[in-house]
Amino acid sequence: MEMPLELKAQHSARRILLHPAKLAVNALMLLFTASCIFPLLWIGYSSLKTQAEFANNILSLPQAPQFGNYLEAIRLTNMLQLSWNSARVTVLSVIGITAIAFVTGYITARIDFRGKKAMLFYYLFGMLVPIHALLVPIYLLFKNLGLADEWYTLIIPYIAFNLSLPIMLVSSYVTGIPREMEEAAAIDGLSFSATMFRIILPMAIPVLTTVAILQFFSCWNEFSFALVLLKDEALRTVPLGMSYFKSQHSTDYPQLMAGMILSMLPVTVIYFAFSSRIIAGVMSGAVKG
Amino acid sequence: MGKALRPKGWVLLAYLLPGLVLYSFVVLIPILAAFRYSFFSWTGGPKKQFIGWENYAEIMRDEVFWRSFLNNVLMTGYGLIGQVGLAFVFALLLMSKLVKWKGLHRTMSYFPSTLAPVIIAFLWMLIYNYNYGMLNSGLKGLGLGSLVQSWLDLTGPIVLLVSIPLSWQNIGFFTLLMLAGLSSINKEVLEVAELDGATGVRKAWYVIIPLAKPTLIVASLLCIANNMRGFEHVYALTGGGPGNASSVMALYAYQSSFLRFRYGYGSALAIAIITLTMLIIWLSTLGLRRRNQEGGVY
Amino acid sequence: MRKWSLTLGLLLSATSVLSACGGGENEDAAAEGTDKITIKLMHRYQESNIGKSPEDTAVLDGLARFRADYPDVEIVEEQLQNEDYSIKAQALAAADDMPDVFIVPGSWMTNFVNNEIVLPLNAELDKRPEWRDGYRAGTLDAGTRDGQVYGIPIAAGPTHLIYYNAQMFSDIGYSEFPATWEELMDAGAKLAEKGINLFSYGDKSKGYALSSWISALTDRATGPEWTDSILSGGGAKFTDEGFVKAIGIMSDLAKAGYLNKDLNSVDADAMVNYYFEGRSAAFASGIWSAMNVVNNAPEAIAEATHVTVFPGIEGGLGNPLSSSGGAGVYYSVNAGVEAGDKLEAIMTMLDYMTGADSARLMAEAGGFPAYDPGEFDRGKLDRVALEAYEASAAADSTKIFDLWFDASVVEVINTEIQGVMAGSRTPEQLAEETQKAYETFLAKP
Repeated sequence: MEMPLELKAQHSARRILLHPAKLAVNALMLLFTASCIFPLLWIGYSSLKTQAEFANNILSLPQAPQFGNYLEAIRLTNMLQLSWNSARVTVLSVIGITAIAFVTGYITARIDFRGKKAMLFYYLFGMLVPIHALLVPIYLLFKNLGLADEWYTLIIPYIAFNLSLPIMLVSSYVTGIPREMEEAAAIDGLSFSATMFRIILPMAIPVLTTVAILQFFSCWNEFSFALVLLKDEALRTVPLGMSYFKSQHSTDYPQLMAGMILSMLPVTVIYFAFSSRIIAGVMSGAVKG
Repeated sequence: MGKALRPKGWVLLAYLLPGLVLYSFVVLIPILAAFRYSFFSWTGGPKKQFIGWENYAEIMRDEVFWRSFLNNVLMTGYGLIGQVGLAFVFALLLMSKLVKWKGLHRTMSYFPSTLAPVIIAFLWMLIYNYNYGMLNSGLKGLGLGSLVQSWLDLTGPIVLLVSIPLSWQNIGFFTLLMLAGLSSINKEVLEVAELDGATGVRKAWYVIIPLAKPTLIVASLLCIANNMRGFEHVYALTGGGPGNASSVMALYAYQSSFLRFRYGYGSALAIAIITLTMLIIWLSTLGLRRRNQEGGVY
Repeated sequence: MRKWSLTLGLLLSATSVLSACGGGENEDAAAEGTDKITIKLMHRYQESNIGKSPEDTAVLDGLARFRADYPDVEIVEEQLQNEDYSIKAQALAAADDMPDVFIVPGSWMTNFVNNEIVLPLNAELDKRPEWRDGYRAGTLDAGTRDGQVYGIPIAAGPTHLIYYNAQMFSDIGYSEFPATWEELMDAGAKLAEKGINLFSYGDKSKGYALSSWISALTDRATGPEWTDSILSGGGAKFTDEGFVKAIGIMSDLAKAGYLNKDLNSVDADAMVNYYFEGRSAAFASGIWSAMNVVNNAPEAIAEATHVTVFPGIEGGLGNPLSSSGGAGVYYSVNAGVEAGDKLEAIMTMLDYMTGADSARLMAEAGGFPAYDPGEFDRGKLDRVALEAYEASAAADSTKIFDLWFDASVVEVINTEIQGVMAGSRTPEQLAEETQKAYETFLAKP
């Protein structure tokens, strides 16, 4: 156990490559990782095939790339409009979620008040709600208040149904921040609000980034609310656009896949651009009990 | 808790209220409304007929609903193994020196979580496809042609087959959660285990388990909640078929409302789903608490 | 504690106000302009299907012509894909918030009529006898309740035709499509030896079995009187021999292995693709598949494809030449629309979308319109499409169950048939479950 560090590293590196069990573990991990990225590649190159080529062999590479599929997909779905709508709704929802989760998470982590447990439980309860079974009451509610079919309509449920996990993550992250910071701030005469926003907020950036990005994906991909609560075609979001490729009696798969790639594009770019930060954030914000 | 930190009551309320109001508005009111509808026979439109507890009595007798409930429970079981359990193993492997290219694994394994359920279902339909699915080509390639199946047409293991894509998608998320929860564990513990072989592994196990318990509990609760209300993957992959073999509660409630015009019954089903899920979560926290007296997160 | 109960009380009363079904207040803002009429339209025809689907092509062309001819009428249109449409329409219907004009499948009609969601159109149609009488006989029926017409039909093509590869059948010694079920089973066995499925079949999106198989098969066994008796609550049962026999034939085909193994997990697209790939010798589908064959089949397959219907069932009471068909999907008008300029405009719009001109275009594009197009340019049709058209015109059309039976019964058959085809349920069990749902439906006030 008293081995020098470098030696230990070398030693274990050799063991990894030599030991068959370790080789197997590595191979399995690689296989799993490959399976995670394969869909992107497969949908990517399949979207460049002709319909006949795809029907013939779903795994083969395209013979001559059909970039026309993309032009057609963009034309059919008005992808720019859809993306703009999705982006607007998603960004505003994410800002709302992050703000509420931060304030609520911070307060529950630091302050004891009557009903705190009940409130946390109440927020967690949101994770149990089967929204697909409640579409009619939700529609009625929005319609009666005149909130359906507006540009901001979707932001409301997207924030509300995505609060549970973020509040939990922020709360446990803040619990991990030493109290000395706030006590010092209090001695300096900072108010509660100032402490929260000027001292804690900057320290909570990692977990807030994580929360933002996690919820970004679920807002971007949401379908049911978008279908039921919106009537105006000019307000439709990306997931609704995917149905343009399915007609009643036949589906043009390569074109559908071109549409999928276009719909995934913003999310995928964001993910790979920020992946190291998301992961760092998740890891720092995790629940430590 | 230093007194200086404590804000006035109204400040606290002002901060908490926007979230609570918004959340109550969208989450609670529809549930209360559904609770009210659940006492009516309602086929859509303005006419409703009050029938008391009739819908609930029917749920008790409804074989399809209870089959769906069992499927949810089964899916939850598979989820606990395939999502939480495997993620735990992955996390330990990623912390140990056994595995190389850790950054790559972490980045990629989370990627499926960013995809829409429709896309996940689309992919797995092609994996399971009888004629050109990758699973069957793989089996043939390995000389196991006799195992070739039309996978999604099997009524027996259909719930397992539907659960696999779900695990595949969520494993990355749970792995990250575990990695985070385990980050407090001293790396040396794991290294010792590697160098000492089997006895070391056993020793490490005793060190790791108590430390990992809170994270495992939270992950399990998340997993239970997700699987009990699961809808999208099943809807897109099998639509609950063949027959009702892979039906789940949320799907059944949805079909009752939207395909059979039974909005009252559909609402009663929604209430039943929430109640049953709470019951299961309550039972499992009870079980976990008993084994781990000081544990329990909320 | 008192605070709690107060909050709860407030919440509960707020809930009942906020979640009360609207009703009453009519959203048509008639006060808006002097002559400006706004029609809200929601349907499941999509711009993206123009040129691919005859129905979408013809209906949307009619709408475009109407817009050009009546610039004063503003049309607020919402196009949705088929499944999405169903969900949305039902949520809106439950909330009593339907647009002015919308699509109603026949199976929803009873419910919509009972809930006063749709407007009877007799008076309006009577004002336009020429248009009204142009629809093919029987096409208005599935949208009619107690003599009141609630829907304008669009297409009327049969939902059951068999597209078969004549080459494959002649290779096993059948110069024509087998004329009896015995011959068909024999052909199935011979094809199976060559590794070919007799039929490809794809029922993932439930509904295919009922519309393309069960409706036509049952009629061959029971004759149309049985169906009428079921519809009128006249004593016929789903447990009757004929119905069980029809399901039994399907079950036999599946058990014998003459259908593709993945019959419940692939959709109709994949089913047709299997045929294109030569994996199957035939498939049963509606007239809509004709254009799919014309546009997408490999040349050799398209050339070998011919169109027919199921053979008769021995001892069956129905016409062996019949096919399930007739109109089943309608444009209906919101019950809140009052007689007047707006309703006039709506009727004119529907004439443009489904009447003579639209019908001709639909027929020329390979569809089978509900409105009789009279003479149209058949030269524009490909051979397979023409054969399908002629088979449709010749077939004695029987009722399409999924459009006539109530949605609650349809749902049960759709689910149970998957079990039967998978081998986990028997035709008798299906019959019993269906009968149970049917009795529940009959017992409803």
